[in-house]
Amino acid sequence: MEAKEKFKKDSYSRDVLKKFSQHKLAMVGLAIILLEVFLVIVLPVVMKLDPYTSDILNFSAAPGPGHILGTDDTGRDVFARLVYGGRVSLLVGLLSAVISLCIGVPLGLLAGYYKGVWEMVIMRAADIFMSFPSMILILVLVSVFDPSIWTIIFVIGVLGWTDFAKLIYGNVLSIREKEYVESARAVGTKDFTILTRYVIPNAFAPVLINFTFRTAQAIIQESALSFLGMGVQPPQASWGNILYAAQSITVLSSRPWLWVPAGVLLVLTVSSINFIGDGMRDALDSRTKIKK
Amino acid sequence: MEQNNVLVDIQGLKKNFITAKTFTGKPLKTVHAVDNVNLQIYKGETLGVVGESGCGKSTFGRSILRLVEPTEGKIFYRGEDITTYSKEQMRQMRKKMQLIFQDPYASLNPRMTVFELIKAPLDAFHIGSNEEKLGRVRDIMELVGMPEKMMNRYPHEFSGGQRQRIVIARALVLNPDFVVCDEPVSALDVSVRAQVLNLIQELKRKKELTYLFISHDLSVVKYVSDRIAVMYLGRVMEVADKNELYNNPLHPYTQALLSAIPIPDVDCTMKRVVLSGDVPSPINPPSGCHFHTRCRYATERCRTECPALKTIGTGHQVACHLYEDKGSETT
Repeated sequence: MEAKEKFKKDSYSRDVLKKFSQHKLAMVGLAIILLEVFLVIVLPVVMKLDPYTSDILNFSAAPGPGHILGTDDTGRDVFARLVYGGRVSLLVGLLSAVISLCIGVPLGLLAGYYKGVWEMVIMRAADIFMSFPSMILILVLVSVFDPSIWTIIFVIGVLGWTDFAKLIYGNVLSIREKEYVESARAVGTKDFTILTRYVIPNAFAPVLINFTFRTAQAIIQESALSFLGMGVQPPQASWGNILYAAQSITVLSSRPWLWVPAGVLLVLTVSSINFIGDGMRDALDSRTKIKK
Repeated sequence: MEQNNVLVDIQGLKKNFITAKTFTGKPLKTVHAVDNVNLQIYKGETLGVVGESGCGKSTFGRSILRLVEPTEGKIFYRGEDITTYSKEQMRQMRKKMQLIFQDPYASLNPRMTVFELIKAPLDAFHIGSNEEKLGRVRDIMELVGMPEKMMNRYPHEFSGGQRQRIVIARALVLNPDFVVCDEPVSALDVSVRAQVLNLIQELKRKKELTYLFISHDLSVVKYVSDRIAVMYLGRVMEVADKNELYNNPLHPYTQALLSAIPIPDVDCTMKRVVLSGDVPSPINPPSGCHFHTRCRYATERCRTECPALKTIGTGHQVACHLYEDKGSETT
């Protein structure tokens, strides 16, 4: 019985979770992100939001009953567009970061652990990718394919792999020379186990932090793309093209309900994600103590 | 000692590290870390290896276990040449040959608990059920003097001495025959050295181990070893029984080394053999006998010809031209 119990609880991940939960800013950030995700999924169904139909009687109306955050210059409900835009932004941020991670981490691991040809091919490829100005490349790729939300996720995701690869490559290079990796080899541990139990846990903390950072960056990249008119295409909403629609001086100065909420949400989301990253960094550092 | 008692027989072992290459990939600078070492390790003994830092002791120890691949030479374990073994065959050999690391602060994965660390060798070879693993970890922890309640702690919560106990437990949990101790106490506080040394001695008795004990500390080596090999710049200069070596050092280097041991007596005047100069670089080792640049007996012959390890008297081997005519050459 006792043996089973000892095997069950992975005390490392338990400690990490505990430390993470004690990090106040990270918990606030996580709460905000979870709330956003929840609202973005639930609200359109519950409130029967419609981001596309124009309210012909109310063009550019100020916030009031009927339209909580007013309407835009074609009479669409700003609040509804904000919620739908949130779907797009969060989806683009998370999915493209996942794609970057899934490509970058294995490649970086291979390059760093096995070196030789792997290192040569993968790291030079990363250099080539990084030598292109990414925004221009994204613009070109998006216009070659179609500027749909999936192409944007894919393109931002694929182009983001170099960060992860370089990061984990650098970490693995130093970790593979550590004595504890040699000690694992000395007791007969297989390469695969060495990678999963010794190398990855010790190389992964910065990757997780970078994941949050990358998510925030992808959200901003999507907004920038939409702001340039090459992102998510109207009538589909995204926080970026809501801002894009608010470029004129009159809108900026006299109709703040059109752009302030989207801007605030962007800032809030990106900084929440970064707080989560901070919390992860502290939690994954085995030297920080659990507060009693 | 009888030949059939040889557990590990090292023949002509060399390890070169290439530190710089030409543009075409030819080696430009080569470090001769281990240079043609011949040694026999007998069953049940502790063979001490002493030498200055950088003389290739640790590389020697690791290349016996093929943790660094030897460049040349053969290693026979119970008569079988393990240098021809495949990666998987060599992995299986890890059950028999283990290493105790020097620095317990670096050799324990900070992400694993004591239990997971000591269990890792059992996991690697899928030995026993979970209950059996727990039992074995418990037994070995008791043997090395770690309280069982420490099992779920992480290495950073322990002192150096306790960490080294964990390292020892991990090395011995598979019940190996042969253990290379790579300066196991040199990273430790002086106050816990004796404890860990005694533990290593005690475990040898209890588990019938054979040790290759690497150290730069002459008093430590004298305390634990049965025989001692003296290394200088990748080569073995002298091998002898502990008492024989300390009472009758033959090689000029050994003489200088032993005269450097401080004697705790103020009235005692020692005849110090002081070496001049530094250890030459192993990238361009001196020709002939590596020691000739610092040897006061060096002759022209020493500068050109490398002396072979020769047996002088019972079990006393020395590589020096001074004793050439007194002994017969060994293999």
